[in-house]
Amino acid sequence: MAFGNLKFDTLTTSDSKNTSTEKSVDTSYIYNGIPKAWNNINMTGTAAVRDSFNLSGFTDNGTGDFTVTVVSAMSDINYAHLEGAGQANTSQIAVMQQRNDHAPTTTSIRYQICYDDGDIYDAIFASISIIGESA
Amino acid sequence: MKTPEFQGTHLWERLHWAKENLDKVQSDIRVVYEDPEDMDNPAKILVPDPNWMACALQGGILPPVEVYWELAKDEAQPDFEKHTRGYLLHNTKPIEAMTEEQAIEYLIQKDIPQRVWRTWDEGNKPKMIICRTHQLPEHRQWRNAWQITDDIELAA
Repeated sequence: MAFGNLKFDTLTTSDSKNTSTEKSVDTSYIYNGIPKAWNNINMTGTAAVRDSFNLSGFTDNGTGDFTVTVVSAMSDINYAHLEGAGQANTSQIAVMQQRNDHAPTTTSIRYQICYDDGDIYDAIFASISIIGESA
Repeated sequence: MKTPEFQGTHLWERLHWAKENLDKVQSDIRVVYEDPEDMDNPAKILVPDPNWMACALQGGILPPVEVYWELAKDEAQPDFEKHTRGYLLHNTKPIEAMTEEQAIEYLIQKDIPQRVWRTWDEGNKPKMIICRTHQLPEHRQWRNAWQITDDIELAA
């Protein structure tokens, strides 16, 4: 059931009795701080997206190497991103990182997945999250 | 379900509506391409997103692909710092419902470099093919050796 829109600029806590001070946050700070895009993909077999938000797809560039593409563009290329890749083998650590030899754009960013020894691999679970200002 | 009138609504908010109201559509279509500026690397494979595909088939949500070209032009300027024409994404009339094939054509024009798809059939061999997942190799053991003519059959 929809209840319409609430419009406000600031959220303020009501616990000043417990903490001696009210705590406030600007709602635009909340908007700019939440992830603008995310996905969870399987790079093994026929690579595919399990679930996502605000992405039009990804390009499988090769082993452990993929580019995600955004639908609602970011305002600039200085956005933050979080990434993670899973590996069942406990003897090796999975590392997922932005490829800094390929500059990001406001609608795309390229990642690489490797073991801690530098060998590139396809992860069963790879996920990214992009945080920043929308265009 | 009818799409609300979304022209003028921020695209990001439209995607929220789609996420809440539309079922994901997993397409088995893939676009395999080779970038002439990156010929030493294996063929790339464009994988459509299931939530994006749902938006494309629903209609009334996504902006025309030309909007992305305009923003890319802005971004290519040497003094680019920040988009000032983001409103094009939100205020341009959204496109109507597409078929799966039309959606893939849109996605090609959005997410594959123009130097690939504008001249895909020029040269000694095609730079790009559209295929189904069953036409791709079943495992990725030799993934970094995949090329269009050697390992991937042309779509029927």
